[in-house]
Amino acid sequence: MVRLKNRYVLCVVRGGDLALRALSPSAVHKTLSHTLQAQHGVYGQARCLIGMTVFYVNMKTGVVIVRVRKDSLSLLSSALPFVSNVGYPPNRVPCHLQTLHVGGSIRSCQKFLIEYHRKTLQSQLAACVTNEERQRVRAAITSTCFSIGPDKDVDADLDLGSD
Amino acid sequence: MSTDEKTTASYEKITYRNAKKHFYLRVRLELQDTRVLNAVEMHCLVTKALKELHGDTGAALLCDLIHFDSPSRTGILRVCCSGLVRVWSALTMLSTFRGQPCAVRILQVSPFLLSLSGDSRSWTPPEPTASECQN
Repeated sequence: MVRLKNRYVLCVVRGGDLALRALSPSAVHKTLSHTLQAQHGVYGQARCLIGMTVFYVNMKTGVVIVRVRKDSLSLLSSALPFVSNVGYPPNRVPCHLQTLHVGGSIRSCQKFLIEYHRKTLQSQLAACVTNEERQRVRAAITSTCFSIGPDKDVDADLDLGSD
Repeated sequence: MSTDEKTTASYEKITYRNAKKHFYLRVRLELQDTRVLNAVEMHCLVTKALKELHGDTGAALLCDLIHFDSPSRTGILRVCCSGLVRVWSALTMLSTFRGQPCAVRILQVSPFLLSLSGDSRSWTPPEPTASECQN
């Protein structure tokens, strides 16, 4: 019995609103494919593209989850810092990818993402000027947290009421 | 001491794995046209083959052309031990040179440069003299 093991790479796209607007699963996949070919050639690209899927893209927060085979993880993780733009040729937007977490399951990535947003929420809220922006950030973070238990209140945990 | 112990003590085989830092490849470039190639063009060809198959990481491998014979288009490459498979595969997969079909034949591979000085496949024994034929 052979079991194919996967790894889930959780990254964040840094590059402003323009880069976030250009995000889509196909655009991220094409960008990664180009970068892999430049860094590891035709062989490395073909080896890494087997089983590689852009699993999740969030246009609001820039979070991207990519699934790769376990033996191709080193190829992808070494090529990720060389991503310089995203999108299709007429609308390419300069950006870079920051790898946050590499997990063995989607569940571990989601758990990490919830903790990551909890940690960064205070700094994001502090950067907001108006109350409307604060509400938007709060709604975006809440929508990104995939499944919070029914008995758990995000606002209470994050102490948002006092802001 | 028994006889078996004496024989085992007198003979010992030592194997060093990956003890050498470099490998040497004797390669021959096959082209259709008869133009003369120099060492720089050959080195560019090897680098281009590496970049095409293995990208920038492949092109950054330590690969030196330490000898090149222009008339026979045969050269000796020195590659680091970890990059031997990548250089070998890139040269094998190379198919074009300036728009023309080409091929690279790997003639010999050895961790010792001295091993490339002789090749039993290309060795032609000397013709026996008349006195030797009579004997």
